[in-house]
This record gives sequence, C-alpha cells and structure tokens, in this order.
Amino acid sequence: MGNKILRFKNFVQEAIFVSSREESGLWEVLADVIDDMHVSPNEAFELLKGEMDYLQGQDDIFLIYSTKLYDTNTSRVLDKKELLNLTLEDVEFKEEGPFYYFSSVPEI
Amino acid sequence: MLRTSGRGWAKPTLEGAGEPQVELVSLSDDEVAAAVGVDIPTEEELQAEYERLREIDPPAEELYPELWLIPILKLRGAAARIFSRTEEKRENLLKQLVSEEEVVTPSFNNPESFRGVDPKKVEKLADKALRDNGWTKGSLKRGDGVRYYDGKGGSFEINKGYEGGKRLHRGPYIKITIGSEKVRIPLLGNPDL
Repeated sequence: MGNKILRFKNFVQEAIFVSSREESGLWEVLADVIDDMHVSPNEAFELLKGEMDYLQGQDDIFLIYSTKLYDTNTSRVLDKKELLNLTLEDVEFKEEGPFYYFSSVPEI
Repeated sequence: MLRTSGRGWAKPTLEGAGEPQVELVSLSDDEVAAAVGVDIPTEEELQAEYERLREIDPPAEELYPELWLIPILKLRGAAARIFSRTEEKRENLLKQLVSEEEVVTPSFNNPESFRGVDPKKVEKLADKALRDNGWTKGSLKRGDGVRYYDGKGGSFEINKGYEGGKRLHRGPYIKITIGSEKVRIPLLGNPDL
C-alpha cells in the first residue's frame, strides 16, 4: 500500500490515479490539481499534459470521450496522446458536452 | 420457683448476716395447679386444644395455600418494577439517541454532516434528495460505487474506496462536485475517520 502511494511523484499523478478510480471528468481532475497545487486552470491543464509518460505507463487508466454526460453508449476510449491536442475549453464542463474523463475501465 | 407461705408469693427471708436466703424446690403440676388455682393441661390436652383451635381458625397458609407464593410474587413485582424502570430508561435512551440522530441527520446543505455516516444510509438519502428531484443515478463502471448528477456540473459520488491514493481513498467516501467546487468526506468504515 505504501508503495502505491510513493509511486505518485506529484499531486498531478495522484489526481490522475484518483480520478480514474472515481471515473471523473477532466474538469474534476483539474479542480483537484488547482486545489492541491494552487495553480490556475491553464497551469493545471499544462501540468496534466506534462504527465503523458505517467499516463502512457498506466494500463488501468483510460482516457474516455462521450458526447453525453456519463453515457456508456456514446463513450469510447481515446489514445492518451489525444490529451495533448485538447484545449482547456475542450475539457471544462459544458452542459452540451463533449465530455472527457479518466477511468480505470475502458468506458464511462 | 419460690416457696409460698400460704398466700401469694413470699419474699425471700433474711437470716444471719443479712444475705437473702431462698430455697429452690421442684413442684409437680398438681402442686402448681393447687397454688395458682387452675388445672395444668396435659400434653394431650394441649394438642387437642391446638387441633380444635386450628379447625376454628386455621392458619392462613392452610386456608390459602397459594400464599407461599406471596414472597415470590412480591419479588417478581419488585423485579417487574425495576425492569419496568430499566425498560423505561432504555426507551428514553433510545428516544434520546433517535433524537440525536435526527439532529445529525446529514444535510445536503452541509456536506460535512455526512462524515462517518453509513454509505447505505447516504445512498438512501441521496435517492430521496437527489434522484427523486431530477438527478440521474448511475453506477460506477468499475462497480466501486454510485454517482448522482444533475447534468449541470453537479455530481454526488459514493465511492466504496480502493487501494492507492491517500488514506481517505481506502474506504467509503463521498465526493461532491458543484461546478469547480469539490469536497470529499469519509463515510463509515473509512480509515481516515
């Protein structure tokens, strides 16, 4: 258990891991990073993108996309590198979507 | 017994140096009877008289054999009263606890009030307060909990916990998100309590 905690090199990695277990939207991941690191939303998103190596190394963390909120039918797994092409506006919560999440299973 | 001197009982006579001198004698029943003027009943007569009186006025325990139960009944009565008071105290305590529970009933206006509450109770409350008021309820795909959401950025997740992350994440907790505000509260069974 201690090893699992130590494997997070920073708050961002921990936020990614936790959000995957909570099956959270990226807007929630950013909220965690903003709170923990006291940074702006833009900075938080850049920090998130900066953890691509960590993301690529985790087989049980998926980047998910859906057109409807928490909708399995419209959800699909994205290549994690797609994250680098997204903007903050893309991942912030909007009622009309689209929606991006981290999940520990390949759906939302 | 003191010897009589004809009528009544005699006082001890003084002789010599003034020491009181009394003479102890044994008298037969007849002599005693003659002295006191009544017949002394024999053992048989006494027994017969006892039997006669017993027929006329039997002892209470013969008239009412169940009277032997009285001490037990009294004891039971006392016990009943004691237990009654105990039961009353128990009920009062229960009412007090229920009352206290009502006081600390989790409120969605106060997320902290969910701290330490049974996850099942939280889910029941959320079913009533959120799902019945238009929020959508769904299961986490991993099977680790449920989520309620309003489609406008509001989310209320009951997570069973998992290995990894902080201690808070290793037991049941709720995560409430309203827009950019979010809070996690440990529930009953969480090691962070």
